[in-house]
Amino acid sequence: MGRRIISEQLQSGGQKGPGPDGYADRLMKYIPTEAVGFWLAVSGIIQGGGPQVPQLGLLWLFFVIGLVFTFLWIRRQTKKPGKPIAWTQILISCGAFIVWVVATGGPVAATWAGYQPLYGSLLLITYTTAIAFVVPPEN
Amino acid sequence: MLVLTNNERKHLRQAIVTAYPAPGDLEIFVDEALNQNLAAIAGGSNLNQTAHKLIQWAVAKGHTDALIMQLAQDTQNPDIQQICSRVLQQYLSLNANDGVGPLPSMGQAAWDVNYEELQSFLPKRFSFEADVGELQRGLELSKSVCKVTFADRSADECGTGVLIAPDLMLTNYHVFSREAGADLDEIATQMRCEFGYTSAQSGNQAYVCGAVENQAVVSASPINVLDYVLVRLRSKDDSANEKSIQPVAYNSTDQLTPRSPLNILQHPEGEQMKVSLSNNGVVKTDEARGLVLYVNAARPGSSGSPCFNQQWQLVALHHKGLATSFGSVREGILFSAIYPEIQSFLPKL
Repeated sequence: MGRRIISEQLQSGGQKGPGPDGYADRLMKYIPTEAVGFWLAVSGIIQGGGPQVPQLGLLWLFFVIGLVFTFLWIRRQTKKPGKPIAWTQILISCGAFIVWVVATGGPVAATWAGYQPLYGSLLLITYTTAIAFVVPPEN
Repeated sequence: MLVLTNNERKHLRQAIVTAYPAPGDLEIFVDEALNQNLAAIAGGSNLNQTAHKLIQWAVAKGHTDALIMQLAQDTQNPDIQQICSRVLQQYLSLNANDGVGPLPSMGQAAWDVNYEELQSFLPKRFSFEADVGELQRGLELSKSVCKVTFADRSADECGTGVLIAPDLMLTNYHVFSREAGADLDEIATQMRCEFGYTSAQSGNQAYVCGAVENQAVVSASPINVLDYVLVRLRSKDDSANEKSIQPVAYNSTDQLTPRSPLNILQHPEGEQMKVSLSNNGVVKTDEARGLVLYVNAARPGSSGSPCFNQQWQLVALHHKGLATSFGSVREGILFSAIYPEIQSFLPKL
């Protein structure tokens, strides 16, 4: 299964793979699981590093690295000959990475005094539910 | 359990009042259908109040389902039928898992539905009446629909085509090639059209033919425009089988309207011919772009399939499937958009 979301399919025979992606397929393709996995691992290591390391600075640094990685990785994964860059999918995936970072606390929790884990969880649920309704344009 | 909105309760009350205008009628209904004493459960100074209290009682005791079902069975009053049908259809569609969800919670006796109940509760979208004569006309037209394959490609790289003149077959451009500017005449030399490819039970005999050798493609439009090719077929023999294949009728002027019927004859995945019927399948049309959206089922291999209106006139050429936020639809090219480009090749009517 390719990473690029399929919004339309010419229906002559001999097609490889399934037809246009439904809600569940779009949801799976929008969430940048590799980048989220990267973030969960890195943020866990940093937060376990003790007071002698500049945790906040490291969290922000690796957040930016994760965001750039998400952008480049999804762009690479969705590249398809003859098709334009999948900007909608790339931007939504980058947004999903940011939401995951907010939901897991990270630098946002340390910077924003009024942050409550509940806000992050609600944002994550809402964003994840909503994005799969977005059907990216094929061309 | 069925839950009524305030508006639905109001409409139901008004419907009960019109359906049971005489004072004793409602009492008899409640006694015979619900085994209750109307005066005991819903006393009121007038019929309006009594109906209101009856609904209140049904809601409070969890008998709303039973009240709606019994009302629908007891009277043919159009107000009652309308409100009951609407409420139940809404309930069924909201609770459907794969289309047909469980009926409202009820005991074993009530679960054993009879024929009339099934007729009452089956949502309309799962059942529709079709004119047998029109269906027979559609089946007759199936002889004019062919499976399109190519000698130099694998068998699953196929499409569907339709005969629109004695020697002219219409299908999608992308069935021939996905590249703009492809040598369509060269591709046509490898083309094979199999008419009457249906299951053995139909008794149809398949008839196979190819394109003429020179300049077979008389007209074409690329995928991103009207996505069609019109191919001239060669006559293989003079058999009765071939003669029985007549071009389909087409309608180049009618505008399809949303929720109008649409039927497709197709060879999905190269299988024997299938028909996808709908009595309200059209979602919308875009006359300017020459496109129509519909909900009829189609699969790879269906490209080039003829889409017919209720009178079995060709109105569109199926070509793709599209994802939507809440499911998927299929897209076809309106024949009214193709017709101006090919009318000079068609016999005068």
